[in-house]
Amino acid sequence: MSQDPKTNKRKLTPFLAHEMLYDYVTGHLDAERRVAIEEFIKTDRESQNLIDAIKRGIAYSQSLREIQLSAAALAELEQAENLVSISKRLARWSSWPDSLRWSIIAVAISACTAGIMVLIPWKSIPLFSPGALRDENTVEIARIDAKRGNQNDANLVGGAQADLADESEADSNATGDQSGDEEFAEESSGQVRVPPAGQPEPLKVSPPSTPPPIAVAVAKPSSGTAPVIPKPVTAVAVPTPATATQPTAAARGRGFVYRAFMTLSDLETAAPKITQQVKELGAEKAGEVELGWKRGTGRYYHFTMPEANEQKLLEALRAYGPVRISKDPHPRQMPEGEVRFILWIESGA
Amino acid sequence: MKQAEQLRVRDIGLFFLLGLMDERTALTAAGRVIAQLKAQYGDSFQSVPPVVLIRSCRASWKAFRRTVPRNQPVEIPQAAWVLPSSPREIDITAWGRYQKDASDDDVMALLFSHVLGFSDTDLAEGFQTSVGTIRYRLGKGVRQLGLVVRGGSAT
Repeated sequence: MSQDPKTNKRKLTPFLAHEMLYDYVTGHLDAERRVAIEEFIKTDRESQNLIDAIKRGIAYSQSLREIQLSAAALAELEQAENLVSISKRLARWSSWPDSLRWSIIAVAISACTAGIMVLIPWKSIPLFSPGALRDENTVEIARIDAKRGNQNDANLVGGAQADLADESEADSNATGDQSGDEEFAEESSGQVRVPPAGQPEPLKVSPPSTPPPIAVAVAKPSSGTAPVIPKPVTAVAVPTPATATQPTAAARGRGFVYRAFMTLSDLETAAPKITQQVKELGAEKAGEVELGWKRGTGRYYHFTMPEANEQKLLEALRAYGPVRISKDPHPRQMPEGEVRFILWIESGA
Repeated sequence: MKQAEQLRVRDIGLFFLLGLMDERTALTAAGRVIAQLKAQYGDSFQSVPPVVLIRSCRASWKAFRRTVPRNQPVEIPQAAWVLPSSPREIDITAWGRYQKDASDDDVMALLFSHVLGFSDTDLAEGFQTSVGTIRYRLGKGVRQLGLVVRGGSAT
Protein backbone atom coordinates (compact mmCIF):
# COMPACT_ATOMS: atom_id res chain seq x y z
CA MET A 1 0.00 0.00 0.00
CA SER A 2 1.22 3.51 -0.82
CA GLN A 3 0.49 6.56 1.29
CA ASP A 4 -1.85 9.26 -0.10
CA PRO A 5 -0.30 12.64 0.90
CA LYS A 6 -3.60 14.49 0.70
CA THR A 7 -5.80 12.23 2.78
CA ASN A 8 -2.95 10.68 4.72
CA LYS A 9 -4.51 7.28 3.95
CA ARG A 10 -2.85 4.20 2.55
CA LYS A 11 -3.64 3.56 -1.10
CA LEU A 12 -4.26 0.03 -2.48
CA THR A 13 -2.00 -1.30 -5.19
CA PRO A 14 -3.73 -3.07 -8.12
CA PHE A 15 -2.23 -6.42 -7.04
CA LEU A 16 -3.60 -6.24 -3.51
CA ALA A 17 -6.92 -4.93 -4.75
CA HIS A 18 -7.32 -7.81 -7.21
CA GLU A 19 -6.48 -10.36 -4.55
CA MET A 20 -9.09 -8.89 -2.23
CA LEU A 21 -11.86 -8.83 -4.81
CA TYR A 22 -13.15 -12.28 -3.88
CA ASP A 23 -13.36 -11.33 -0.23
CA TYR A 24 -15.04 -8.11 -1.26
CA VAL A 25 -17.65 -9.95 -3.31
CA THR A 26 -18.32 -12.51 -0.59
CA GLY A 27 -18.46 -9.86 2.13
CA HIS A 28 -15.44 -10.89 4.14
CA LEU A 29 -13.72 -7.51 4.24
CA ASP A 30 -13.88 -5.12 7.14
CA ALA A 31 -15.42 -1.70 6.63
CA GLU A 32 -12.16 0.17 6.06
CA ARG A 33 -10.97 -2.28 3.43
CA ARG A 34 -14.36 -2.35 1.80
CA VAL A 35 -14.31 1.41 1.38
CA ALA A 36 -10.79 1.27 0.01
CA ILE A 37 -11.71 -1.43 -2.52
CA GLU A 38 -14.82 0.43 -3.63
CA GLU A 39 -12.79 3.52 -4.23
CA PHE A 40 -10.21 1.52 -6.13
CA ILE A 41 -12.79 -0.22 -8.32
CA LYS A 42 -14.21 3.11 -9.44
CA THR A 43 -10.98 3.97 -11.16
CA ASP A 44 -9.77 0.51 -12.18
CA ARG A 45 -11.44 -1.09 -15.20
CA GLU A 46 -9.69 -4.41 -14.79
CA SER A 47 -10.96 -4.75 -11.28
CA GLN A 48 -14.47 -4.19 -12.53
CA ASN A 49 -14.05 -6.97 -15.06
CA LEU A 50 -12.63 -9.27 -12.43
CA ILE A 51 -15.51 -8.60 -10.11
CA ASP A 52 -17.88 -9.50 -12.92
CA ALA A 53 -15.95 -12.70 -13.56
CA ILE A 54 -16.00 -13.62 -9.89
CA LYS A 55 -19.71 -13.02 -9.67
CA ARG A 56 -20.31 -15.07 -12.81
CA GLY A 57 -18.11 -17.86 -11.49
CA ILE A 58 -19.92 -17.97 -8.18
CA ALA A 59 -23.31 -17.89 -9.85
CA TYR A 60 -22.30 -20.62 -12.28
CA SER A 61 -20.85 -22.86 -9.61
CA GLN A 62 -23.95 -22.43 -7.49
CA SER A 63 -26.08 -23.36 -10.47
CA LEU A 64 -24.23 -26.67 -10.55
CA ARG A 65 -25.94 -27.53 -7.27
CA GLU A 66 -29.09 -28.17 -9.23
CA ILE A 67 -27.57 -31.12 -11.04
CA GLN A 68 -29.09 -34.35 -9.82
CA LEU A 69 -27.73 -37.85 -10.14
CA SER A 70 -29.68 -40.26 -12.26
CA ALA A 71 -31.60 -42.97 -10.45
CA ALA A 72 -29.26 -45.64 -11.80
CA ALA A 73 -26.17 -43.81 -10.62
CA LEU A 74 -27.74 -43.10 -7.22
CA ALA A 75 -28.73 -46.74 -6.81
CA GLU A 76 -25.26 -47.87 -7.75
CA LEU A 77 -23.69 -45.58 -5.17
CA GLU A 78 -26.15 -46.52 -2.46
CA GLN A 79 -25.22 -50.15 -2.93
CA ALA A 80 -21.55 -49.36 -2.69
CA GLU A 81 -19.88 -51.43 -0.01
CA ASN A 82 -16.50 -52.88 0.63
CA LEU A 83 -15.46 -55.92 2.61
CA VAL A 84 -15.19 -53.96 5.81
CA SER A 85 -18.60 -52.37 5.50
CA ILE A 86 -20.17 -55.70 4.53
CA SER A 87 -18.59 -57.48 7.45
CA LYS A 88 -19.61 -54.70 9.79
CA ARG A 89 -23.14 -54.79 8.49
CA LEU A 90 -23.32 -58.54 8.90
CA ALA A 91 -21.82 -58.27 12.34
CA ARG A 92 -24.60 -55.97 13.47
CA TRP A 93 -26.71 -57.93 15.93
CA SER A 94 -29.88 -56.17 14.90
CA SER A 95 -29.54 -57.30 11.30
CA TRP A 96 -29.43 -61.00 12.16
CA PRO A 97 -32.54 -63.15 11.65
CA ASP A 98 -34.74 -63.42 14.71
CA SER A 99 -34.57 -67.20 14.74
CA LEU A 100 -30.79 -67.14 14.79
CA ARG A 101 -30.68 -64.49 17.47
CA TRP A 102 -33.09 -66.34 19.77
CA SER A 103 -31.26 -69.60 19.19
CA ILE A 104 -28.00 -68.03 20.22
CA ILE A 105 -29.64 -66.52 23.28
CA ALA A 106 -31.10 -69.88 24.23
CA VAL A 107 -27.76 -71.63 23.82
CA ALA A 108 -26.02 -68.94 25.82
CA ILE A 109 -28.52 -69.21 28.67
CA SER A 110 -28.23 -72.99 28.67
CA ALA A 111 -24.46 -72.81 28.74
CA CYS A 112 -24.52 -70.30 31.58
CA THR A 113 -26.94 -72.43 33.58
CA ALA A 114 -24.86 -75.54 33.03
CA GLY A 115 -21.74 -73.66 33.98
CA ILE A 116 -23.31 -72.39 37.18
CA MET A 117 -24.53 -75.85 38.08
CA VAL A 118 -21.05 -77.26 37.54
CA LEU A 119 -19.14 -74.50 39.28
CA ILE A 120 -21.24 -74.17 42.43
CA PRO A 121 -19.87 -76.47 45.15
CA TRP A 122 -23.20 -77.98 46.05
CA LYS A 123 -21.70 -80.41 48.55
CA SER A 124 -20.31 -77.58 50.61
CA ILE A 125 -23.74 -76.00 50.96
CA PRO A 126 -25.41 -77.52 54.02
CA LEU A 127 -28.83 -77.44 52.44
CA PHE A 128 -27.70 -79.54 49.52
CA SER A 129 -25.12 -81.77 51.23
CA PRO A 130 -25.81 -85.50 51.09
CA GLY A 131 -26.48 -85.67 54.80
CA ALA A 132 -29.19 -83.06 54.61
CA LEU A 133 -31.79 -85.61 53.64
CA ARG A 134 -30.94 -87.92 56.51
CA ASP A 135 -33.67 -87.96 59.08
CA GLU A 136 -33.00 -86.84 62.57
CA ASN A 137 -33.29 -90.37 63.89
CA THR A 138 -30.19 -91.41 62.00
CA VAL A 139 -26.82 -91.18 63.63
CA GLU A 140 -23.70 -91.48 61.56
CA ILE A 141 -21.00 -93.40 63.33
CA ALA A 142 -18.27 -93.26 60.74
CA ARG A 143 -17.67 -92.92 57.07
CA ILE A 144 -15.91 -95.70 55.31
CA ASP A 145 -14.68 -95.46 51.80
CA ALA A 146 -15.70 -97.99 49.23
CA LYS A 147 -12.43 -99.90 49.24
CA ARG A 148 -12.40 -100.37 52.94
CA GLY A 149 -16.09 -100.86 53.09
CA ASN A 150 -15.83 -104.52 52.19
CA GLN A 151 -13.29 -105.15 54.87
CA ASN A 152 -15.32 -103.37 57.46
CA ASP A 153 -18.61 -104.90 56.63
CA ALA A 154 -17.92 -107.23 59.48
CA ASN A 155 -18.11 -104.24 61.71
CA LEU A 156 -21.71 -103.68 60.85
CA VAL A 157 -23.64 -104.95 63.74
CA GLY A 158 -27.05 -105.37 65.08
CA GLY A 159 -30.45 -105.01 63.69
CA ALA A 160 -29.69 -101.50 62.63
CA GLN A 161 -28.53 -102.66 59.29
CA ALA A 162 -31.32 -105.09 59.12
CA ASP A 163 -33.74 -102.27 59.78
CA LEU A 164 -32.74 -100.58 56.65
CA ALA A 165 -32.95 -103.69 54.59
CA ASP A 166 -36.09 -103.49 52.59
CA GLU A 167 -38.39 -106.27 53.52
CA SER A 168 -40.46 -105.78 50.47
CA GLU A 169 -37.43 -105.92 48.30
CA ALA A 170 -36.43 -109.07 50.01
CA ASP A 171 -39.86 -110.44 49.43
CA SER A 172 -39.93 -109.43 45.87
CA ASN A 173 -36.69 -111.24 45.34
CA ALA A 174 -37.78 -114.22 47.28
CA THR A 175 -38.22 -116.74 44.58
CA GLY A 176 -36.86 -119.50 46.74
CA ASP A 177 -36.06 -120.42 50.27
CA GLN A 178 -32.79 -118.63 50.25
CA SER A 179 -34.31 -115.17 49.91
CA GLY A 180 -36.84 -115.88 52.56
CA ASP A 181 -34.06 -117.11 54.78
CA GLU A 182 -32.22 -113.87 54.36
CA GLU A 183 -35.25 -111.78 55.03
CA PHE A 184 -36.15 -113.74 58.06
CA ALA A 185 -32.62 -113.69 59.36
CA GLU A 186 -32.59 -109.97 59.18
CA GLU A 187 -36.02 -109.29 60.49
CA SER A 188 -36.46 -111.74 63.27
CA SER A 189 -33.13 -112.60 64.75
CA GLY A 190 -31.41 -109.26 64.44
CA GLN A 191 -28.18 -110.90 63.46
CA VAL A 192 -25.67 -109.15 61.29
CA ARG A 193 -26.09 -109.64 57.62
CA VAL A 194 -22.72 -109.92 56.06
CA PRO A 195 -22.98 -108.99 52.41
CA PRO A 196 -20.88 -110.81 49.90
CA ALA A 197 -17.53 -109.34 49.04
CA GLY A 198 -17.67 -106.51 46.57
CA GLN A 199 -21.04 -105.25 47.71
CA PRO A 200 -20.40 -102.53 50.24
CA GLU A 201 -23.39 -101.35 52.10
CA PRO A 202 -23.97 -98.05 53.84
CA LEU A 203 -23.18 -97.91 57.48
CA LYS A 204 -26.10 -96.59 59.41
CA VAL A 205 -27.70 -97.35 62.70
CA SER A 206 -31.03 -96.62 64.11
CA PRO A 207 -31.38 -93.55 66.33
CA PRO A 208 -30.69 -93.67 70.00
CA SER A 209 -34.06 -92.15 70.73
CA THR A 210 -35.77 -95.25 69.46
CA PRO A 211 -33.38 -97.96 70.48
CA PRO A 212 -33.33 -100.89 68.19
CA PRO A 213 -34.67 -103.87 69.99
CA ILE A 214 -32.34 -106.35 68.47
CA ALA A 215 -28.83 -105.00 68.42
CA VAL A 216 -26.86 -101.87 69.05
CA ALA A 217 -23.79 -100.71 67.23
CA VAL A 218 -21.05 -99.61 69.57
CA ALA A 219 -18.20 -97.53 68.29
CA LYS A 220 -15.36 -97.07 70.74
CA PRO A 221 -14.11 -93.50 70.61
CA SER A 222 -10.52 -93.07 69.75
CA SER A 223 -8.14 -91.08 71.90
CA GLY A 224 -6.29 -89.75 68.89
CA THR A 225 -7.43 -87.04 66.59
CA ALA A 226 -7.15 -89.05 63.44
CA PRO A 227 -10.32 -90.72 62.35
CA VAL A 228 -10.39 -94.32 63.35
CA ILE A 229 -12.48 -96.95 61.77
CA PRO A 230 -14.70 -98.47 64.40
CA LYS A 231 -13.41 -101.70 65.84
CA PRO A 232 -15.41 -104.77 65.15
CA VAL A 233 -17.86 -105.46 67.87
CA THR A 234 -19.86 -108.52 68.53
CA ALA A 235 -23.48 -108.42 67.72
CA VAL A 236 -25.39 -108.68 70.93
CA ALA A 237 -28.89 -109.90 70.90
CA VAL A 238 -31.10 -107.87 73.15
CA PRO A 239 -34.37 -109.28 74.33
CA THR A 240 -37.21 -107.32 72.96
CA PRO A 241 -39.61 -105.86 75.49
CA ALA A 242 -42.84 -107.63 75.95
CA THR A 243 -44.82 -104.58 75.16
CA ALA A 244 -44.52 -102.25 72.29
CA THR A 245 -42.40 -99.24 73.00
CA GLN A 246 -44.04 -95.91 72.53
CA PRO A 247 -42.54 -94.17 69.54
CA THR A 248 -41.23 -90.70 70.02
CA ALA A 249 -43.03 -87.76 68.54
CA ALA A 250 -40.42 -87.55 65.84
CA ALA A 251 -40.67 -91.21 65.02
CA ARG A 252 -44.43 -91.12 65.00
CA GLY A 253 -44.44 -89.26 61.76
CA ARG A 254 -41.98 -91.70 60.23
CA GLY A 255 -42.35 -95.20 58.99
CA PHE A 256 -42.31 -98.01 61.48
CA VAL A 257 -42.78 -101.76 61.69
CA TYR A 258 -44.10 -104.00 64.39
CA ARG A 259 -41.83 -106.95 65.06
CA ALA A 260 -43.46 -109.79 66.94
CA PHE A 261 -41.92 -113.01 68.16
CA MET A 262 -43.62 -116.10 69.56
CA THR A 263 -42.62 -119.57 70.58
CA LEU A 264 -45.32 -122.21 70.27
CA SER A 265 -45.10 -125.88 71.02
CA ASP A 266 -47.89 -126.91 68.70
CA LEU A 267 -46.90 -124.69 65.83
CA GLU A 268 -47.96 -127.12 63.14
CA THR A 269 -51.51 -127.00 64.44
CA ALA A 270 -51.63 -123.33 65.35
CA ALA A 271 -49.94 -121.90 62.27
CA PRO A 272 -52.84 -122.46 59.82
CA LYS A 273 -55.25 -121.01 62.35
CA ILE A 274 -53.08 -117.99 62.94
CA THR A 275 -52.75 -117.51 59.22
CA GLN A 276 -56.50 -117.66 58.86
CA GLN A 277 -57.08 -115.22 61.71
CA VAL A 278 -54.52 -112.83 60.38
CA LYS A 279 -56.18 -112.85 57.00
CA GLU A 280 -59.58 -112.32 58.58
CA LEU A 281 -58.24 -109.21 60.27
CA GLY A 282 -57.46 -107.76 56.88
CA ALA A 283 -53.80 -108.68 56.63
CA GLU A 284 -52.17 -108.67 53.23
CA LYS A 285 -48.77 -110.04 52.59
CA ALA A 286 -46.19 -107.32 52.14
CA GLY A 287 -44.18 -109.22 49.57
CA GLU A 288 -44.18 -112.37 47.58
CA VAL A 289 -43.57 -114.66 50.48
CA GLU A 290 -46.89 -116.05 51.54
CA LEU A 291 -48.21 -115.58 55.05
CA GLY A 292 -46.99 -118.29 57.33
CA TRP A 293 -44.05 -119.12 55.13
CA LYS A 294 -42.32 -122.13 56.58
CA ARG A 295 -38.68 -121.86 57.36
CA GLY A 296 -37.01 -124.61 59.30
CA THR A 297 -38.97 -125.03 62.49
CA GLY A 298 -40.63 -121.62 62.32
CA ARG A 299 -43.18 -119.60 60.41
CA TYR A 300 -42.71 -116.15 58.93
CA TYR A 301 -45.41 -113.55 58.48
CA HIS A 302 -44.76 -110.23 56.81
CA PHE A 303 -47.92 -108.32 56.17
CA THR A 304 -49.76 -105.05 56.33
CA MET A 305 -53.14 -104.57 57.93
CA PRO A 306 -55.55 -101.88 59.12
CA GLU A 307 -54.34 -100.15 62.22
CA ALA A 308 -57.76 -100.59 63.82
CA ASN A 309 -57.25 -104.34 63.96
CA GLU A 310 -53.90 -104.13 65.68
CA GLN A 311 -55.25 -104.88 69.14
CA LYS A 312 -57.43 -107.66 67.82
CA LEU A 313 -54.42 -109.26 66.25
CA LEU A 314 -52.42 -109.08 69.47
CA GLU A 315 -55.30 -110.57 71.42
CA ALA A 316 -55.64 -113.33 68.90
CA LEU A 317 -51.94 -114.10 69.07
CA ARG A 318 -51.84 -113.99 72.87
CA ALA A 319 -54.47 -116.67 72.87
CA TYR A 320 -51.78 -119.04 71.61
CA GLY A 321 -48.99 -117.90 73.88
CA PRO A 322 -46.83 -114.97 74.97
CA VAL A 323 -45.97 -112.47 72.33
CA ARG A 324 -42.92 -110.24 72.33
CA ILE A 325 -43.46 -107.23 70.22
CA SER A 326 -41.56 -104.07 69.44
CA LYS A 327 -42.26 -101.05 67.34
CA ASP A 328 -39.25 -100.02 65.37
CA PRO A 329 -38.52 -97.20 62.98
CA HIS A 330 -38.65 -98.12 59.38
CA PRO A 331 -37.59 -96.21 56.30
CA ARG A 332 -40.80 -97.04 54.48
CA GLN A 333 -43.80 -95.10 55.68
CA MET A 334 -47.16 -96.78 55.59
CA PRO A 335 -50.33 -95.06 54.45
CA GLU A 336 -52.57 -93.56 57.08
CA GLY A 337 -54.46 -96.24 59.01
CA GLU A 338 -52.16 -99.07 57.88
CA VAL A 339 -49.46 -100.84 59.88
CA ARG A 340 -46.73 -103.21 58.89
CA PHE A 341 -46.10 -106.40 60.86
CA ILE A 342 -43.30 -108.91 60.83
CA LEU A 343 -44.17 -111.94 62.88
CA TRP A 344 -41.93 -114.88 63.53
CA ILE A 345 -43.25 -117.92 65.32
CA GLU A 346 -40.70 -120.39 66.47
CA SER A 347 -41.56 -123.99 67.23
CA GLY A 348 -40.44 -125.02 70.69
CA ALA A 349 -41.37 -125.76 74.24
CA MET B 1 -32.53 -45.21 2.62
CA LYS B 2 -33.00 -42.06 4.63
CA GLN B 3 -33.17 -38.73 2.85
CA ALA B 4 -30.13 -37.36 4.63
CA GLU B 5 -28.12 -40.38 3.60
CA GLN B 6 -29.39 -40.02 0.04
CA LEU B 7 -28.30 -36.39 -0.05
CA ARG B 8 -24.88 -37.38 1.21
CA VAL B 9 -24.56 -40.00 -1.51
CA ARG B 10 -25.66 -37.47 -4.09
CA ASP B 11 -23.08 -34.92 -2.89
CA ILE B 12 -20.25 -37.41 -3.13
CA GLY B 13 -21.34 -38.61 -6.55
CA LEU B 14 -21.69 -35.09 -7.88
CA PHE B 15 -18.28 -34.12 -6.51
CA PHE B 16 -16.56 -36.88 -8.46
CA LEU B 17 -18.64 -36.51 -11.61
CA LEU B 18 -17.83 -32.81 -11.84
CA GLY B 19 -14.29 -33.21 -10.64
CA LEU B 20 -13.20 -36.08 -12.86
CA MET B 21 -15.64 -35.63 -15.76
CA ASP B 22 -15.45 -39.36 -16.43
CA GLU B 23 -18.60 -41.24 -15.59
CA ARG B 24 -17.20 -44.69 -14.86
CA THR B 25 -14.16 -43.44 -12.97
CA ALA B 26 -16.27 -40.98 -11.02
CA LEU B 27 -18.81 -43.60 -9.92
CA THR B 28 -16.05 -46.00 -8.94
CA ALA B 29 -14.25 -43.35 -6.90
CA ALA B 30 -17.49 -42.19 -5.27
CA GLY B 31 -18.47 -45.77 -4.50
CA ARG B 32 -15.17 -46.37 -2.81
CA VAL B 33 -15.58 -43.32 -0.59
CA ILE B 34 -19.14 -44.23 0.31
CA ALA B 35 -18.14 -47.78 1.17
CA GLN B 36 -15.29 -46.55 3.28
CA LEU B 37 -17.51 -44.17 5.20
CA LYS B 38 -20.18 -46.83 5.66
CA ALA B 39 -17.57 -49.16 7.08
CA GLN B 40 -16.43 -46.43 9.41
CA TYR B 41 -19.78 -45.00 10.50
CA GLY B 42 -22.35 -47.69 9.73
CA ASP B 43 -25.89 -46.52 10.30
CA SER B 44 -24.78 -42.96 11.01
CA PHE B 45 -23.29 -42.59 7.55
CA GLN B 46 -25.37 -39.51 6.86
CA SER B 47 -23.85 -37.74 9.86
CA VAL B 48 -20.25 -38.12 8.78
CA PRO B 49 -18.31 -35.02 9.88
CA PRO B 50 -17.59 -32.66 6.96
CA VAL B 51 -13.86 -32.76 7.57
CA VAL B 52 -13.83 -36.56 7.32
CA LEU B 53 -15.87 -36.44 4.14
CA ILE B 54 -13.57 -33.83 2.60
CA ARG B 55 -10.47 -35.81 3.43
CA SER B 56 -11.91 -39.07 2.12
CA CYS B 57 -13.02 -37.46 -1.14
CA ARG B 58 -9.70 -35.70 -1.57
CA ALA B 59 -7.73 -38.90 -1.05
CA SER B 60 -9.91 -40.83 -3.46
CA TRP B 61 -9.73 -37.97 -5.97
CA LYS B 62 -5.94 -38.08 -5.94
CA ALA B 63 -5.96 -41.83 -6.46
CA PHE B 64 -8.35 -41.74 -9.43
CA ARG B 65 -7.25 -38.46 -10.97
CA ARG B 66 -4.21 -40.16 -12.45
CA THR B 67 -6.42 -42.52 -14.44
CA VAL B 68 -8.12 -39.62 -16.20
CA PRO B 69 -5.63 -37.91 -18.50
CA ARG B 70 -5.89 -34.13 -18.57
CA ASN B 71 -5.28 -33.90 -22.27
CA GLN B 72 -8.19 -36.07 -23.23
CA PRO B 73 -11.20 -34.39 -24.84
CA VAL B 74 -13.78 -33.20 -22.36
CA GLU B 75 -16.41 -35.90 -22.05
CA ILE B 76 -19.70 -34.92 -20.57
CA PRO B 77 -21.33 -37.66 -18.55
CA GLN B 78 -24.80 -38.27 -19.87
CA ALA B 79 -26.23 -41.26 -18.05
CA ALA B 80 -25.06 -40.48 -14.55
CA TRP B 81 -26.68 -37.14 -13.96
CA VAL B 82 -29.74 -35.18 -14.78
CA LEU B 83 -29.09 -31.59 -15.80
CA PRO B 84 -31.78 -29.11 -14.91
CA SER B 85 -33.68 -27.69 -17.86
CA SER B 86 -35.49 -25.03 -15.94
CA PRO B 87 -35.49 -22.29 -14.91
CA ARG B 88 -32.35 -22.08 -17.01
CA GLU B 89 -30.15 -24.51 -18.82
CA ILE B 90 -26.63 -25.15 -17.62
CA ASP B 91 -23.82 -25.16 -20.15
CA ILE B 92 -21.80 -27.95 -18.66
CA THR B 93 -19.09 -27.63 -21.28
CA ALA B 94 -17.92 -24.42 -19.60
CA TRP B 95 -17.26 -26.42 -16.48
CA GLY B 96 -15.43 -29.01 -18.53
CA ARG B 97 -13.12 -26.38 -19.97
CA TYR B 98 -12.47 -24.87 -16.57
CA GLN B 99 -11.91 -28.23 -14.89
CA LYS B 100 -9.41 -29.24 -17.56
CA ASP B 101 -7.16 -26.22 -17.01
CA ALA B 102 -7.53 -25.54 -13.28
CA SER B 103 -5.41 -27.10 -10.58
CA ASP B 104 -6.83 -30.03 -8.62
CA ASP B 105 -6.90 -28.16 -5.33
CA ASP B 106 -8.71 -25.19 -6.91
CA VAL B 107 -11.33 -27.43 -8.50
CA MET B 108 -11.83 -29.40 -5.30
CA ALA B 109 -12.08 -26.25 -3.19
CA LEU B 110 -14.59 -24.75 -5.59
CA LEU B 111 -16.70 -27.90 -5.62
CA PHE B 112 -16.69 -28.31 -1.88
CA SER B 113 -17.41 -24.66 -1.15
CA HIS B 114 -19.74 -23.34 -3.84
CA VAL B 115 -21.34 -26.55 -5.14
CA LEU B 116 -21.61 -28.68 -2.01
CA GLY B 117 -21.74 -25.81 0.49
CA PHE B 118 -19.00 -26.70 2.97
CA SER B 119 -17.58 -23.88 5.07
CA ASP B 120 -14.14 -22.42 4.59
CA THR B 121 -13.14 -23.62 8.03
CA ASP B 122 -14.05 -27.22 7.20
CA LEU B 123 -12.21 -26.93 3.94
CA ALA B 124 -9.11 -25.57 5.64
CA GLU B 125 -9.14 -28.43 8.11
CA GLY B 126 -9.87 -31.00 5.44
CA PHE B 127 -7.11 -29.70 3.21
CA GLN B 128 -4.86 -29.23 6.22
CA THR B 129 -4.10 -25.63 5.33
CA SER B 130 -5.13 -22.15 6.45
CA VAL B 131 -8.43 -20.46 5.81
CA GLY B 132 -6.58 -17.74 3.94
CA THR B 133 -5.14 -20.27 1.51
CA ILE B 134 -8.57 -21.74 0.96
CA ARG B 135 -10.04 -18.32 0.27
CA TYR B 136 -7.23 -17.55 -2.12
CA ARG B 137 -7.91 -20.79 -4.03
CA LEU B 138 -11.61 -20.10 -4.08
CA GLY B 139 -11.05 -16.58 -5.37
CA LYS B 140 -8.78 -17.80 -8.09
CA GLY B 141 -11.13 -20.62 -8.96
CA VAL B 142 -14.32 -18.62 -9.32
CA ARG B 143 -12.45 -15.91 -11.19
CA GLN B 144 -11.17 -18.44 -13.74
CA LEU B 145 -14.54 -20.08 -13.94
CA GLY B 146 -16.19 -16.72 -14.50
CA LEU B 147 -13.79 -15.90 -17.26
CA VAL B 148 -14.53 -19.27 -18.91
CA VAL B 149 -18.26 -18.86 -18.78
CA ARG B 150 -18.12 -15.19 -19.89
CA GLY B 151 -20.13 -14.68 -22.98
CA GLY B 152 -21.49 -18.24 -22.79
CA SER B 153 -25.01 -19.35 -22.14
CA ALA B 154 -24.30 -20.87 -18.80
CA THR B 155 -25.74 -18.13 -16.69
